[in-house]
Amino acid sequence: MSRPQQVARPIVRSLRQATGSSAACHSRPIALRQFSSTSIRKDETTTTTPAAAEPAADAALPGDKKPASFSTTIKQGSEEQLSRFLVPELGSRRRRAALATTGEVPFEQLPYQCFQEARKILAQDRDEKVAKIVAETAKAERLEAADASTFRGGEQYKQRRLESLREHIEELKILADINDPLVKRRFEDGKGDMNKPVYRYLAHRKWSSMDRKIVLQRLEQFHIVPDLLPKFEPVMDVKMTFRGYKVSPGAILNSRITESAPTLRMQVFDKGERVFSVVVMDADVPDAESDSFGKRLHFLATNIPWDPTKSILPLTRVGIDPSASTTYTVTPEPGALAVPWLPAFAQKGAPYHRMAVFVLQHADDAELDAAKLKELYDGAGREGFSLKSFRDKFALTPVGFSMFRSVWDENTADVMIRNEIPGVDVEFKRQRIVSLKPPRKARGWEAKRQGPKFRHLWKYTKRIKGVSFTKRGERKR
Amino acid sequence: MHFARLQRPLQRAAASSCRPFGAVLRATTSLQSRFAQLRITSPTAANAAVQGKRYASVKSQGAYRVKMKKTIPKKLGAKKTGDQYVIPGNILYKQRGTIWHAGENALMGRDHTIHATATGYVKYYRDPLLHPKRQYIGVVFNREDKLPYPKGTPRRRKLNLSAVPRKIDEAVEEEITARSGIPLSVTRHDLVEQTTDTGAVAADQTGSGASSKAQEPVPLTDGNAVVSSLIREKLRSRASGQAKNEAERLRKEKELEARRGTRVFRLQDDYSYRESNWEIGRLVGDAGIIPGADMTEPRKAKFRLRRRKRMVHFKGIKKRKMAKAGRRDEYRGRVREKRAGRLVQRVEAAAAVKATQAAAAAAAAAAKAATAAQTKVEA
Repeated sequence: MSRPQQVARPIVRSLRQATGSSAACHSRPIALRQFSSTSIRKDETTTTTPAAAEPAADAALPGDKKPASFSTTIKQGSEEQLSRFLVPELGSRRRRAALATTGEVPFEQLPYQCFQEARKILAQDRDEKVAKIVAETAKAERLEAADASTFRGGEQYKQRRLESLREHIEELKILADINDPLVKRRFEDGKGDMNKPVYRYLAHRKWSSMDRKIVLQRLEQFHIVPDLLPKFEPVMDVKMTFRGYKVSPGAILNSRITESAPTLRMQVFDKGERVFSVVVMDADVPDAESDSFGKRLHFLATNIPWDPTKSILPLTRVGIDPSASTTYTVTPEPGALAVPWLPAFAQKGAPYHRMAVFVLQHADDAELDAAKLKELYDGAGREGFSLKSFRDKFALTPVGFSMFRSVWDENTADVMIRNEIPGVDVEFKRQRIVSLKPPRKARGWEAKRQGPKFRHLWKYTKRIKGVSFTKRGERKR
Repeated sequence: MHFARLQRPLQRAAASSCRPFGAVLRATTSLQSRFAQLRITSPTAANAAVQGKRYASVKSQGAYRVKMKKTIPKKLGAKKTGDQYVIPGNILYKQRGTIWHAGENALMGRDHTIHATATGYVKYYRDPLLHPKRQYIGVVFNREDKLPYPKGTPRRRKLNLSAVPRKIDEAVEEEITARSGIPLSVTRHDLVEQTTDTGAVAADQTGSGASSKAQEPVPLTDGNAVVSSLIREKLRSRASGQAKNEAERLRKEKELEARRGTRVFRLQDDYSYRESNWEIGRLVGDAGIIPGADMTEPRKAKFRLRRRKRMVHFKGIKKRKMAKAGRRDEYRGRVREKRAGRLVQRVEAAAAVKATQAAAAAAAAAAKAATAAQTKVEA
C-alpha cells in the first residue's frame, strides 16, 4: 500500500460511514424484491414513464385518425366460419392482421426501410428484364423478317428459333413481375388480370400445388383412367358447387342436392379464346341382365366460349331460353344445351355411382352441331354413352375433370319419382354363390337320434331352434 | 386247487428234464404224449404266470405323440392350378413370403396366402408393365381370357347382384291396447321441480348472447385493438363453451330426473302390470353405465399422480437443501468478509498505533534534542 493510499483510506472510510444509510439501502431492496412483483418507488420513476409513452407514439406513427376511405372493419370469427364466405379478398389471418395494423397507408408506401430498399432492388431488376424483353422482341422481329434461305437449317430452323425466342419472351414477362409485392397482393386478393402471363402463372402454380394433385389422385383411385378414358392429364382447374356449396372431388352427395345441375368454376392457364363442351356422365350403371356395369350420359352442353378471364359457368343456365321463365329473369350463359341435366341417382343396393364431369376443348375452336348431338345422345342415346368415342367422333380434347359420387339415400326415391326416372321399385341384392364342396350330412347328437327308434327322445331332438319339422317328425324342406 | 395248478408245470418240467433221452423215444408211449413232451412252454411265460404278471392287450398312452414342430408339414404351395374354376374366398396359393403376388380379382391375406375374390378361372402370369420381376395369380371371368389385360382398357367388372322388387319398409303402428281392450302399458309421471329448468334457460341465453356479440365487426385502429379483440373473442368462446357444457349437464340431469319420475308399467301374461327389468335397472343411470363403476380413476393415472407427488416432494427437499446451502454460503461469506474487515481494521489500527508511537518517539527525540540544544545553548 502506497503512502497516499494509506493516508486516504481512513478518510474514505469515514466518508462511507457518514453516508452509510444510503449505501446499505442499495443492496437491501434487491433482496426484498425477490418476493414482490411490483417495482420499488426508485425504479418507477426511471422506467415506467417512457415505457408508457413510447408505444403510443409508435401507434400514432402509421396514420392519422382521419376517417378511412375504404372498409375499416374485419369480419370476426374463426377460420372455419370465415372460409364459408368464399371471398378471396378476405385472405389469411396473417393478411387480415397486417391490413389491420397498417391503416390506410398505401401498400407500396409502407414506412419500413427494408421493404422500401427491397422494392428499389426489385424495380431495378424489373427494368433489366424489360430491357431484355425489348431486345428479344426486336431480335424476333429481325429473325422473322430475315430470309429463311440464309440459314443452313432453312425454314424449319427459322420457325424453331422463333418459337423458342417467343417462349423465352413469355418467360421473361413472368420473371419481370413475379417478385413484385403488389402483383402478389393483387393475386392473393383475387384481383389479378388473367390476361397477363404473370397472374396466369401464379394461378397455375397455386392450382398445381394441391388441387391438381387431388384431381390426379381421384382419377387414379376411382379408375376414371382407364374406365372412361385410356389416358388423361387435366390442364385446367375445374371446381364444382351445388347450390352454392363447395364440393370436394369424389365426395358422396345427397341426391336432393344433386337434383339440379352444378355450377362449375373453371380456370384456364393459357392465353386465348377457345370453345368447350361439358359432359357429366355416370360410370357405374348396373345392368343385372348382362351382370355388368354400363355408362350413362347425364348432361351435355357444347359450344361454350371460354378464356382465362372467365371463371364461373352455371350449368343450369347454359343455352336456356330467357323468355321461357316468367317468374324471374335469368341471364343465359353462352353455349348450346344438347342433353339436359338428369339428376344423379343410384338404385338401392347398387354400389356407388361415379359421376364424372369432363370439360372438353374443341379442335380449332370449331363449333359443334348441337342439334345433331341432341339427336345422337338425348333420350335413349343417354344409355351406353362412351366418352372415348364422343371424343374421337368430334375431335375433342379432354382438358378438365371433376367428379362426385352418389348412393341410394333417403331422398333418392322422391327425386326419381319427381323426375319420372324408372327403376324406383328395383332393389339390388347379392347373388348367392354356391359352394364347390358337396353337401354334408347332418352330424351331432340330435342328428343321430332323429329316427323312429328314438321316438321317446323326439321331444328333445325335434325341438331345435331354427329348424322346423313336420308333424310326422320329418324335417321340413 | 390253486397250489396244484401251479405245481403242474413245474412237475412236468422236472420230469422232462430228468427223463433219459432213450425213454422219450420209447415205442410204448403214445404219439400224443410224445407231442406233449415235445411242446415246450417258454420258461419266461411260465415265470410270468408264476409271478402273476399280465401283458397289455391295448396299447399304452403316448404311442401317438405329436411329432416335432419342425417336421409338421405346412402344406404350402398351389391349391388351385391354372384355368381351374374358383369362387370367392378360395385359397389359390399358400406361401411363406411373397413368392406370388395377388393379381386381378385376387387378394393377399395376412400370411401372404392368395385368395380369389371373384368366381372365374385361375391364371398364373407376369405383368412387366406393373412390375418387372413379380409373378401374379389372378382370376378371369372367361376361361379364354389372358392376363394381364392390355393397358388402357376399361376394367373387367361383374355386378354380382340381382334385381329384385324393392321392399318398402312401412312404419309399424304400435298397438296401444291388447285384444281384450285393456291398455298394454300404463305410464305414471311424478312431478319434477322447475328450478333446474330456469337455470338451463338462463345459461342458454348467455350462450346465445355471446355468439351474437361475436358477429359484430371490430373497427380497425391499430394492431393492439386487433390483438385485444382476438383475445376477447377467445375468452368469449371459452365462456360460451363452458356455458354450453353446463347447460348440457343440466339437461342430462333433468332428463334423468324425468326418467326417474316416469314409470311405465307393461301388461304381463298374467294380466298384471309390471315395470320391465331393464327399466328398473335404468333408474340408477344411463344405458351402458354401471352406477359406481363410472369415472373410476385409471390405474395408470393413479401411478402417474403418485409419481408426480413424489417428484414434487423430492424436489421440495432438494430445493430446501439448496436454499439452506445458499444461506450457509451467504452466512459464511459474510463472516469471512467481516473477519477480513476486522483484520484490515486491526492492521490499520496497529499501523496507526505504530505511527503514533513513532510520531511520539520522534517528538520525544525532537524534544530531547531540543532540550539538549537548549541545555547546550544554556550551557
